[in-house]
Amino acid sequence: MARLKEIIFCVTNRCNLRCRMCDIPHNKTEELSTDRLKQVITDAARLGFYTFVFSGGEPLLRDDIFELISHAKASHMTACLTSNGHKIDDQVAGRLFEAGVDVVNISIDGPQQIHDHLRGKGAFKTAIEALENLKKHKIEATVATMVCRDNYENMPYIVEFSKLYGVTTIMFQPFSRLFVSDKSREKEFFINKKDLDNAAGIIEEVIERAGREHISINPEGYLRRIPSYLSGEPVGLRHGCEGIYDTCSIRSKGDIFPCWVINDSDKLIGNVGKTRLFDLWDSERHKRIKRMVEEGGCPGCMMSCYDEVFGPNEQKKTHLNKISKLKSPRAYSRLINRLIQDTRGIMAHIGNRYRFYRSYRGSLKAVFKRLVKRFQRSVLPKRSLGKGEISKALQEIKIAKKRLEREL
Amino acid sequence: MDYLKEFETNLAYHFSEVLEYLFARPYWVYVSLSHKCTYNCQMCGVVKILKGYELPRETLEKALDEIAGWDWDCSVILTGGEPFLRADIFELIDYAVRRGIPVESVSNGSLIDKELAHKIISSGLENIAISLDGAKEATHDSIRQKGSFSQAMNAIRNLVLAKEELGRGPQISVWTTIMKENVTELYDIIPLARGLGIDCLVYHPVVVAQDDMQNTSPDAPFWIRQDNLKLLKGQIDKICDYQDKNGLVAFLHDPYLWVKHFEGALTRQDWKCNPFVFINIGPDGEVRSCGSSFGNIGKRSLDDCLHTKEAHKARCLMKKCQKPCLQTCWAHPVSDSPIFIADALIKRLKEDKVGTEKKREIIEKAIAALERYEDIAK
Repeated sequence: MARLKEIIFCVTNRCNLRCRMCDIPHNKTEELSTDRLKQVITDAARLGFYTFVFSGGEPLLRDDIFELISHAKASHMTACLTSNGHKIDDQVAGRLFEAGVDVVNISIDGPQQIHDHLRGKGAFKTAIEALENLKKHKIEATVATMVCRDNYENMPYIVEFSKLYGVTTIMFQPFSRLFVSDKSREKEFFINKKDLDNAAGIIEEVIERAGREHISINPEGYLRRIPSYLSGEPVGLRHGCEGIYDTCSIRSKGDIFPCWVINDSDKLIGNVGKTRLFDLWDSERHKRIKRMVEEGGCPGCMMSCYDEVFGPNEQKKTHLNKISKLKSPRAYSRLINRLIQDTRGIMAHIGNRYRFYRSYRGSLKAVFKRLVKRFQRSVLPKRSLGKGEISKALQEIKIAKKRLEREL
Repeated sequence: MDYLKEFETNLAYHFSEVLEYLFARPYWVYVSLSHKCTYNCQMCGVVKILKGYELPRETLEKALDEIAGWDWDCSVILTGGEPFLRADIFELIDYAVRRGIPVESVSNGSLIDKELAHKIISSGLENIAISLDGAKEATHDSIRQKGSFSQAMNAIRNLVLAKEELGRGPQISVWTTIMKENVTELYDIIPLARGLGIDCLVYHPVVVAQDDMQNTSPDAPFWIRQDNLKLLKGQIDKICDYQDKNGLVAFLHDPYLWVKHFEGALTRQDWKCNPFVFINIGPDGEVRSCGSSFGNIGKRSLDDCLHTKEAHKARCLMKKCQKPCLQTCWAHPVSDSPIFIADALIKRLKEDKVGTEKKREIIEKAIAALERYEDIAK
């Protein structure tokens, strides 16, 4: 079984903003009760998920969000919150800190003008205040940026901006059709083919700047694919995506699909409002749906993901390529110098990345402890059960079932 | 839904035991808050064995947080030593009650004056039990210490009075340990307790050595010898008769098993405990059901303690235990077999005259629950 990572729960459809690129708040408000959600959290912890992401809508609109976060923490998971910054004043930040939230992910789409254009007037100011208050209470904050035609040129600005607010991680997420229900409006987010070169140049600038400032961003390969994706070309399959095995996304109504992208009604695993997550996960139906996806193929996506392998891998590949073409000894020494420089950069990068990772998945110590715990649980002493006992149990179940069936 | 929950809980206990896997969480968590006690009773091992230990508040609060997160019907029972010797007991009760955990407590009553009784009654406890070991002052005092009978009686009076004044409060019960010294007075405790206005009376047989629950040698102190068993039987007859007519007595098991217990003839076929139903957290932080420790909640989380190798070993040993001790950590007798569990559900549905459609839904879900365990067993 794959290592379970995170569970993303859309705790509410309600939102204080009406952003252009997101129609979630126009959906019907169907939310699970506090008790039900707590049960989901408990079950997630029992199943071995590391991280519980509270998403929305705007999760802070739920009155019980602090209680839920504390519950996730008490269940030994890391708790993450995605927010547009609404309501995070000094007091709310304090309460978040008390509840024990590990990471708060604030959406910033560009400078004030652009951000307010996409998300509504005053949204930028709220987001900035939120970042300041989070910093004051020493809560790890990350920035998430939705990239589309209107703001792709501002991507380098986001890097500078993040540096200013001490943010260690930026997640660029190109516009996704998933969140817009009116298909005719999709056009306004995609870029023209003739702007492709410009966009590619901007991406390189972002990679370079983020490297210089030691800010973690999405993998380089992923970023370089953004322009062509935004010009409407189909996305290829992503290698190494294990989303259907190790993450679990849940809609506000409680529906679980294998992932955000695969949401056809025949692939509905179940509803945590009706059945316990513990019973749904790895159930026969879940296994069957996973097989369906494996056989039918995944449509591919450009969803960003915090855990993807980071830049160094790509660099390693280019160095290996270069080595095979090298001829003169001088070229070797040049390459070695370059390697040293790169390694230093990578180390700084990793240091920064670790700070984020520590909040997102737990410190090395915590991860180690968790691993040991798993080990302890898995090597239970040999069961003293004989075959006879099990067959007796099976027989008893059969009789009990018959008696119940007779009542039907 | 209630029916289904009960059904699933019983299934979980049964299959935890049969398949030796933790499908269930304990129904009872006994927490021995401190070794300290106002008395030094002869039959109690806590004060002697666990001298010097007291459970730190933070550790206990962490455990309570976990229990609240279990999503399992579970009661916490605060015992000791004498739990009301702890200055922070009401804060601990409050901490648990706020998290929705039912809390009960057991006391010898020595500290319960009017003021404390008021505090106890308004604390949010579900049940407060006072130990009373004899109907006569001389008997109780000889087992515990001089003056303890009047202290216990005063404590019960104060509690009953406070409950009347407040108009609400926990169930007030009396716990009696059955032993050689009080075997002739067991029945007499009932009218005495009834006169005081308590809600419930519980009897349980003595454990002669806390560190060896299976010590059933007839030479052991407090043990009711063969020649006195007739007396015990007579008492049980009277008690059962009273219970049939007037209630008040709560039996944790068939009372005639006490006779077999003191004969040393009680076997697993008569009565067995389920190792998953009950845990005890000692003042030293060690978690046990019976026998050796599962782990220490000072070092790891309570849930981890339940998952350790030691826990598994201890439970396997309990499964083989041939000498049940009939203590208050009783099993759910209905959870002995899925057949009983199914029968109990059908019986309850019939008794409550549940509508056909609802009944159908419940039974279908019950079958699905059984099938889950069937899959696991396969």
